[in-house]
Amino acid sequence: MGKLLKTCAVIFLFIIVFSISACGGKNNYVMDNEPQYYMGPNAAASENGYYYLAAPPVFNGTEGYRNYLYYYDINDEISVPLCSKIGCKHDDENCEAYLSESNCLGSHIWYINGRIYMIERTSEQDTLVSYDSKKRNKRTEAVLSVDGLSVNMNAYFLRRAVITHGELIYILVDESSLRLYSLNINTKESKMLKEYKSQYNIRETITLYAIDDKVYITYTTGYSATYNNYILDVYDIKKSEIEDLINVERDYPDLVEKVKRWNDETCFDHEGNVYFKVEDENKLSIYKINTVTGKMDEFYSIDVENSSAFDYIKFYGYDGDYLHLYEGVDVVQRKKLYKREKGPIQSNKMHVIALDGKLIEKQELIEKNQYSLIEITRWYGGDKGKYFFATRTTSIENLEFGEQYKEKYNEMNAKVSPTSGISPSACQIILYDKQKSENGEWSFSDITIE
Amino acid sequence: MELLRIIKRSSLYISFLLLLAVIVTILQVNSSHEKKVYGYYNDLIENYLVIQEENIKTDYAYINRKFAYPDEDKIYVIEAINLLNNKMDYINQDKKYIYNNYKRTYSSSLFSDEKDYYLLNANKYMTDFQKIENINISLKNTTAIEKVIKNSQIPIILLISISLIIVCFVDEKEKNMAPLIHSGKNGRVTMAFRRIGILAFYSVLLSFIFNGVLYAIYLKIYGGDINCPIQCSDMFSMLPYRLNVIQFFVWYCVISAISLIAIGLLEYLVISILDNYKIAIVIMFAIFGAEYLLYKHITSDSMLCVLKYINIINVCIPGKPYFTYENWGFYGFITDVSKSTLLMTLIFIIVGFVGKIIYVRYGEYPIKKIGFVGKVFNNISEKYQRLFVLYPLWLKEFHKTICIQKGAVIFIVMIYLFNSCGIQKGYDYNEIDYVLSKFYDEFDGCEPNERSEVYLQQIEREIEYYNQKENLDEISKDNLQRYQNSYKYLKDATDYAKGLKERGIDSVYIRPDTYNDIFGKRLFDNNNTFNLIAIIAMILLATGDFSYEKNRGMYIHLRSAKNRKNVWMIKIIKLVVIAAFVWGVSVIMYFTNLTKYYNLNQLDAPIQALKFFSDFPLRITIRQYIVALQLVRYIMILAIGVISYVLSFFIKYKNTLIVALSMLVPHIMYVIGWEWFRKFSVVVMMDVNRTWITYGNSVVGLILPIFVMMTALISYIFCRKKFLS
Repeated sequence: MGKLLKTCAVIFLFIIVFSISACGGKNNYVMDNEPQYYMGPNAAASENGYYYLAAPPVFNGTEGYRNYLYYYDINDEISVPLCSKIGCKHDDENCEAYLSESNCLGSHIWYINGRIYMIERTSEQDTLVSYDSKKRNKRTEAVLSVDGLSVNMNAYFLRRAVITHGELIYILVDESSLRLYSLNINTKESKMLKEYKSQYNIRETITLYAIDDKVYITYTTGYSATYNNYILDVYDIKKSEIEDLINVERDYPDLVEKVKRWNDETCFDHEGNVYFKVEDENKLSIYKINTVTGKMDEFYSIDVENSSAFDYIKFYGYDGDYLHLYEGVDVVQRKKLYKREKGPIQSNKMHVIALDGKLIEKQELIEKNQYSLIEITRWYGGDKGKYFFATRTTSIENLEFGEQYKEKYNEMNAKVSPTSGISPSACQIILYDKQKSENGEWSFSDITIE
Repeated sequence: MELLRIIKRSSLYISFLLLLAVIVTILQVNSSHEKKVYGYYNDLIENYLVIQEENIKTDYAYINRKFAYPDEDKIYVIEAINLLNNKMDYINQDKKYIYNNYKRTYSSSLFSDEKDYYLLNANKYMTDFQKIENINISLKNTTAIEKVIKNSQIPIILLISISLIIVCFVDEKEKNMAPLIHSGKNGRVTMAFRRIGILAFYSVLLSFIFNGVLYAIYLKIYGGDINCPIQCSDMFSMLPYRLNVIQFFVWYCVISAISLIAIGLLEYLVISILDNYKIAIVIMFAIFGAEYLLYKHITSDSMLCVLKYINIINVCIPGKPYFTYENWGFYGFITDVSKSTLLMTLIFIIVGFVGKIIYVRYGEYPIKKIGFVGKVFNNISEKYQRLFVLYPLWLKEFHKTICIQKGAVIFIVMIYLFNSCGIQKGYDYNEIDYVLSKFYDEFDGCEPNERSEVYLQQIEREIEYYNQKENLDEISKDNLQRYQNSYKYLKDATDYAKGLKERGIDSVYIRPDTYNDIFGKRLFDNNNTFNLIAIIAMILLATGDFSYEKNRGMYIHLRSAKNRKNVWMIKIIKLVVIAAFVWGVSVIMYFTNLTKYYNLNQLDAPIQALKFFSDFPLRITIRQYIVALQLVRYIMILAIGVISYVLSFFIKYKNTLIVALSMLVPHIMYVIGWEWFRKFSVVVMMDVNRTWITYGNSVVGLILPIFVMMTALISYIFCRKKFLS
């Protein structure tokens, strides 16, 4: 009987060990091939809505910007935090929707075939993890660290990794170079595509942009504190090779000192054109270069009165049909002119530009208290004639921030003191719907959770 | 009789553990500070009607105007006001958000399936919520009971106490009385029933005594109401029973006792089935360790969440799982943690109870029948014994530890664990500054010289040049900032190196990345793991020696033998060699793993060249420092081995094991989350580098290592004298 019990104990242990090890096995689900180039790194489109990372509607800014995963349902027009706890206020670390910086490295998410993907950092490894569509049933897909190196992810607005055609393209950083890697999510095999050796002594930056079966690699490298060179390579998924496309200093030397935000405000279309921002005297331009022919055009431009205005113009890129250029109110200039007075109405404008360079429309948003800047804190992009973004400005005309959030903001504001460590901040989510515009309705709506 | 025997055997240990629990509880609480804060807190609660008279913000200025508390107590009053405000936020909170969440969950098509976990959870929550919605809650101090439930050291001390009782149950095996007892009329099933009864009696008794003492201490420090509904506490807001605080406390004690019975029965069964104590202890440690890792690392949204909730740790530390509201489940299934934990507890009780009775009835024969394999084994053993008599004495000593006492198994497990607990990640270069990196590419290992000065001047000129430029864009500003930071860092590094030169130390630039990690916090946990494995291996290898001889009746022969000095020397050499083996394996595997991810640069530079060793008193190189760390580590492993070895000379094997392993209790407490216990952890103590980083040249850091070494030395001298006398 004793032996029988011992045998049972051994079998039981084997079953446990075997079942635990089996959990790490391979899966063979079919990957959706197309990359979501129209979405920002902090958002992902699904069949019926968008997943996005944002702070709670009202939060303590002193504690920093904390990411919570929300889902906006296009059909029901409602946002929900992905937290199953009914008794949760969705504003602290105990909320299931909360994702710490290490849980969701670089605030990047992807949605592929019913699962949400993100990169997680533990003390010993960086891994690709996935959740089901409701942020449950988490599983580890693959280890990304190679030779003990960490994934390069240190700014939420730079797209440092992409998933396309069943491959995760990401960057590992070592002592003196940035290594571009590819991981096949099905087979879990990874390979190094290219090593970008640091040539100069300024921090190098690589960002990625996936469209069709290409991954564009935008690379900034510096000579000195103020002089950068801009390089563009492309990784062809089908051929599995990297091609050198543009070296701005070599190919377009006149532009090299004028190119701005090469890593985060550059986009590509299906025809192999690259669009990027150029600042010159009193003009901000979007330039287009055809990466096949090398032909360069000044594609679109905005005249600016003061150089301070450059800081408030953001190029948010391509949605599959149009390009978006946001012209925010130049706060610096406005303060100089009107000081504490309200001054005349000045709106923030979204320029919607067709691929032939024609302005389709200028959508206007007005900050109703001072006619001032509506700052877009996160651009989420969008598809099917929609885009959405997060803003900390909550006094937008025709877009009322929820009463309960106003109350909470005021309550928090009342507690502000030099020692309280409280600094209230807000996060309102605004959605633009082209269809509404075509129906003659107000095309912007507040989709912050109710 | 059996109860009296157990009381006699265990009273001392339990009294000691109770004392330990009291001391630990009192030391953990910053008593004078807490007393003042909670004194004011209780005062504010009592005077809340007065506070409410003017409907304005309750802050220090207002409270001070109302009550004129002494100015020197301002910090305590502010803390008390924060506690009051938090409590009032809970009492007055609008529950509308709960209905909003519920409505929102039902509104989104993402959760349209009725079996979806979100909907199951929403419905369950609302059902549970309605049960307590009408309970009247008021402003009461419930801190003491909250602290009792949060406390997880008392459940661990209770578990240790129960484990000691169980160890007492199987005394007869060690005294070779088992065949006699088990062949007696009431020596098997009846005895098992009695012992299970004793286990239950002790569980209830100890649960009430330990938790009662804990609650009394907390009530004394924090004060509190014991008659208000338990839902007055935010922590128990969803508890679906109408209980006041004192009823709730009694209930907690009962649950704690049931948990103890469950774990105790399971332990009793395992120890009964496995005749070998060492294997039983290793298995128990492995199971608890594995369960703890699963409990800690699996998140509630993981597809393996069942392993988090169906976990022995929930039974061992029952406060949170039973009394704080949490649901878990998956598609089509939902339950709350308290129900699943209760079910698991009952299963443990049934398995433990029935298993023990069945094992005693059918498996625990006084004399076991030898099977075919046993016969073959005995045959081989007999032949081997003929060869064995020819072994020299020293070889027999090693044979005893490695083969007879299963030391080889411990070695194999140890090597496996060392191999699997290494680091897997090197330095994170995400934050590296390329200006610094380039500088160290050129000057790593060089003294400050003209070339490095020129390099710095170049950076300086560049900064000046770009500082004069206007209209820098954001990236250029960022790069310029990096330049400035790097320049400052390198200037400091140069000045530091020059300063060392003035002190007569040859100083060089050293790329700081690797050493910031390997001498810094990055490797603290890894070092602890290596040290913990080494200590456990050493204790298990050292404790059985004398007790085995005592058991076999060889002890007297050895001590009265003519060449007992020789025997003693061989025993000590064996211990030194075993410690060296344990240490050697750990060192080789540690550095093999470390050098895979880190490049140990400039090993022959003075240790003071690293800035955080500027005050290091000895003039040695980095290489010598690393070697010295490992040598001290060896001495520590040996010291712990000697202490365990000597203990086994004076007390019985089981007691030796208990006492020796109890050296690890502070470390376990520290790992679970009580930082305060780190000071008493022998595992942390072995990381001498950490001691230096924490305490610097202060003697405080030396107290524990010196204490351990002195204890080892004194016990060695005493034991040697006794052995040779």
